[in-house]
Amino acid sequence: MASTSTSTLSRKLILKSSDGEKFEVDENVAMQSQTIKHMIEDLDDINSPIPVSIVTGTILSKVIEYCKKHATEDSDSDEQLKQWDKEYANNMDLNTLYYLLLAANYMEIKGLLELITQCVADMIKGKSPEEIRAHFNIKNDFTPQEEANIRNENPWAFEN
Amino acid sequence: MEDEDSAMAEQFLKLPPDIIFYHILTKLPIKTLMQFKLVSKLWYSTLSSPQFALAFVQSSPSFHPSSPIQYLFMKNGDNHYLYSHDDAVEDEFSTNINKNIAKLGFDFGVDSDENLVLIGTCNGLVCLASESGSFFILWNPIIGKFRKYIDYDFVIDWSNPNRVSWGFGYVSNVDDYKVIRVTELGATLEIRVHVFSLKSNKWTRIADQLYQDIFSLQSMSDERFEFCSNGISRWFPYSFHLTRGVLVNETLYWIAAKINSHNVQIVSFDLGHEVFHNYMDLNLDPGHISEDYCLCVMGGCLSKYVDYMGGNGAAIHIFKWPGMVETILLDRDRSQDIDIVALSGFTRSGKFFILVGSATLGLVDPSSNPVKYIQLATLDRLGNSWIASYVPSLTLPYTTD
Repeated sequence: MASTSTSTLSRKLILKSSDGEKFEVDENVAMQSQTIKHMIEDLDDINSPIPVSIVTGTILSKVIEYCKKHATEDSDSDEQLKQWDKEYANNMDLNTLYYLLLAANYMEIKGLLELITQCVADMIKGKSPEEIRAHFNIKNDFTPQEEANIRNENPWAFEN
Repeated sequence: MEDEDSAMAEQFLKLPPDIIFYHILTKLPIKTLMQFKLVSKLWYSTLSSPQFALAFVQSSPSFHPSSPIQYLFMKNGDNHYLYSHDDAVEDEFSTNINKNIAKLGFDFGVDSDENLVLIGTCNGLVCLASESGSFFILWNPIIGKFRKYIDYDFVIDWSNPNRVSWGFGYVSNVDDYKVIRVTELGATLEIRVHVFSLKSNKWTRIADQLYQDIFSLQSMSDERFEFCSNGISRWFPYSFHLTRGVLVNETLYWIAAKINSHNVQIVSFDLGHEVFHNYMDLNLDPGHISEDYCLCVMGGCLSKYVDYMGGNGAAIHIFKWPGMVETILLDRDRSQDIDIVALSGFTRSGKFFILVGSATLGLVDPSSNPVKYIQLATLDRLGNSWIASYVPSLTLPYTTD
């Protein structure tokens, strides 16, 4: 296995996606996931693939891309890293973003979860309640009277 | 209907509500959240819940004590105002006077002969209390909800008025709001301390032994402090000099007199442990009279404002951490003799707010020399005024269980 190689100091781990794809990553990259960190602690043989059961290969490769960028302590300044994060998130379509959000939540990668939730928050900030329903696929279960009552509770919130 | 819903869900991933509410919506501004109550019944009940209000306070950086001040809550007589600060127009003084100030109309159903005092703000809640000591009000002006908390055991002796000092704050490890009331009894000159816990909805008396070594009215000295309530003047041996404690890091601070002594000192009350302490680090020089000083919060730190009378300028001592006191000298123009009543800082650009002569809100740039003072708003001279930094929240002024 790769871990027997002496050319690198860092141990290698193998992550296995829900659809069976395998990824070999440095231990410090994978350890950014609290979930994986806890799994390794309970594992006798780190050479066997670690299942990331609800994450597909496509999404897992993107998660690893983020973790690699944030694991290396190279010359990137905070500003450069922020810029990279921004471009990384902007390059995703909405569905990928949501799958990534679920993966970050499941794998407990705080930075990635923060990045994507902020991205979604910025996206929905200016939307009307109708647009929100469409965006999150929610059915309006209020009667017009109930809607009017809510508007009357805090009329200032609905002024421009 | 069911089929239509599931068909839509297939083409578009649905996020679990927990992620939407507690990871995404907590990052949005308060006005947006109020509008989003219209989305559905689940959104309405979640956004109105104390759990969401708490998550919002915990995740928003604007609640961090050192974050820049964006809003001020102001009380002027019976009127209440919310001032929103726009850093961009800070320097265009005189053009924006009274523009960013919104009057908050509200009827608390309080008798007109009861004076309400602004005690403080915390997590978007405003605490107002009666000067007589018999009740207080918690109010969230953003969601338009308030509750009056009356102490039915409290006896008002109109011929011997009490002097009352209040404090209000939050204890995070038990998620509880507490109000402390220090009553200096006019008839016997004794002190009674009570604490109200919002969670238990109960007043508890703090045992005398816990503070009798720190402060007491039983002063042997001839010092007296004039106090006027409901038209009756009383002369108290001075003890608590403020009607409200200053809240820093879940602890309240007052300037108070020590037992049998001329010395004034800073007394603290830890809201979590419910104990009093002498606070030595910002100690006051003995021999000075109380009106030279006031306590305030600057950048999340307990601070002391000292006015050296007679045109000798003023200073703010900011207690950063044990042993580290930062001082801002206000070497002001002698012709500009301004009477600063209250202070609150800082804005994003490092300026701070002052309340001048109880009716004018001003902004001070400490880096200017002589100190530049910009008038932001002028209120009617209706009576006592006070200001407190404010952060809008959805926090309910009562517990729901």
